[in-house]
Amino acid sequence: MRDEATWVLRGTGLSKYYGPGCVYCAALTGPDRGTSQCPLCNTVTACANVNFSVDRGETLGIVGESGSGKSTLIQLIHLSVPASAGSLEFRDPESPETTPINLLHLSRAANRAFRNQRLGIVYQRPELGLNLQFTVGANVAEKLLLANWRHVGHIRERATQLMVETELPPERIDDDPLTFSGGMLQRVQIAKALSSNPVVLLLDEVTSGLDLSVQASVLDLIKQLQWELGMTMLAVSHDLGVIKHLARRTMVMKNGHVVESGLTDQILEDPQHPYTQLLVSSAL
Amino acid sequence: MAGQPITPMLEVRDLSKRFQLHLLDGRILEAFRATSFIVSPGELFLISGVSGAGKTSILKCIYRTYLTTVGQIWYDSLLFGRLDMATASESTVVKLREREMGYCSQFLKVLPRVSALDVVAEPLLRHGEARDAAREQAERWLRRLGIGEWLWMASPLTFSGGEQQRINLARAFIGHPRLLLLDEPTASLDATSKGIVIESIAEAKAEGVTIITVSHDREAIASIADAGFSLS
Repeated sequence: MRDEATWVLRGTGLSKYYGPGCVYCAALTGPDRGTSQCPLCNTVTACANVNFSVDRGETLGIVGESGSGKSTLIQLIHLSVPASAGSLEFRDPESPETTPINLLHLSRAANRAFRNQRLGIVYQRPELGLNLQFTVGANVAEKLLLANWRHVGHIRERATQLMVETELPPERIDDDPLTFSGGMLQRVQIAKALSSNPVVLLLDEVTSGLDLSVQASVLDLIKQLQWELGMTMLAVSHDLGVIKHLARRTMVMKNGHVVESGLTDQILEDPQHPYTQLLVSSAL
Repeated sequence: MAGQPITPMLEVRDLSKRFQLHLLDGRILEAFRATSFIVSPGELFLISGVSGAGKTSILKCIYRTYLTTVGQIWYDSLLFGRLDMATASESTVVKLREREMGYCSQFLKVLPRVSALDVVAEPLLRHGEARDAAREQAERWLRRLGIGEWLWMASPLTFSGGEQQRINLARAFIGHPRLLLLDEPTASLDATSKGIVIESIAEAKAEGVTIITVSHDREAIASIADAGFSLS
């Protein structure tokens, strides 16, 4: 199809195993077996042969229960955990004619630079994404420093601007994160993730720890920012309601495998796989 | 150009939809079977029939919310030419939904605590329109569909069924779709609101929008419909 040339990120056969592996792992794990752990060698197949592609400005949703491999997949894409097999290609949306690069073949320095400059991530737990000993401004500054910003005045100006964009009071830039509410801390994480103008933003259960009233406003903020900045996003959640509002397309994972993928409304209203039907029928 | 055949906007051939319910021992549920029809450009096409006849399922197959079990749905798109919606790639369907196809459901599914104004403006914001310009157009549609100004900053989830229905329609109209799918647009509306909605649909049709609507309230829409059939 002529529109297939618009992807920004494409994973092919992405896999992650924890353990030595044996010839029986593939046969003894997966959704049909109901486990990710091989009973013979104890290897955990966290992600098995995952294929996906995400277009510019698109959000891909990833749903599944705890232990399905969705957070491992996000970590693989964030290049913070090395993949056991497969490829992860990136094509710069600003120059789509250039040859895609395989992110799994980057040197350690290039890996770090890519992660700091091109990727942003927001975790469920703020302590994973923020240094709670630093002020809010210093947390945002940390990412900017890693992305080679050096002028203190410019860093502070950018941090203030990001606080305004993420609807945080900019006068609290020098405050301790522990004095912020859960919803505000998620906004600080979003501000930090956006600081280097990432091409791809990864959201790992971004609203799970928040009360319902704050969930909606954080989701609305993410949507608004995506429209304004044109970012590509991957959003992991066990909450189908969150995915419904964020993602046009969705993958369903179970025991490390993608059991079904499709348009989000199709996944929710006409699920094909028995597990997806169970997941959808169990949603509150 | 007399004598030249017009390419149909949509051609549905032998369409059937069955659901396999894995949680009920794999039981098969048939929504509708072997349905064929042709919709010409600019036409208002009405599918009527009793509740449960499968009307909404046909619309959802066209929009690809439902996967087609058997048959083809040929759509003459501006972006990609003539294509089968039943087998088009997901990426193609996403682009068609963004630029050409609108769907108006019977139910409103929006984020809580977002104002009616922003809910209606959302399709334009998604296309990169500036917030003020999008809100201005949203105001025009809300006013056109008779939603009082005092409600604009409230969440539509707190609205009555009839008001929610009109918010849904405003969201569908504001994106200026080329093909508009309307699911029971006059259900849960009083006589006055029904009149406003019918008038808006007729206006969209006059502007050249091709509209397929399903309704069990045949009387309400039949007067402005060009063609259609009843599903039994």
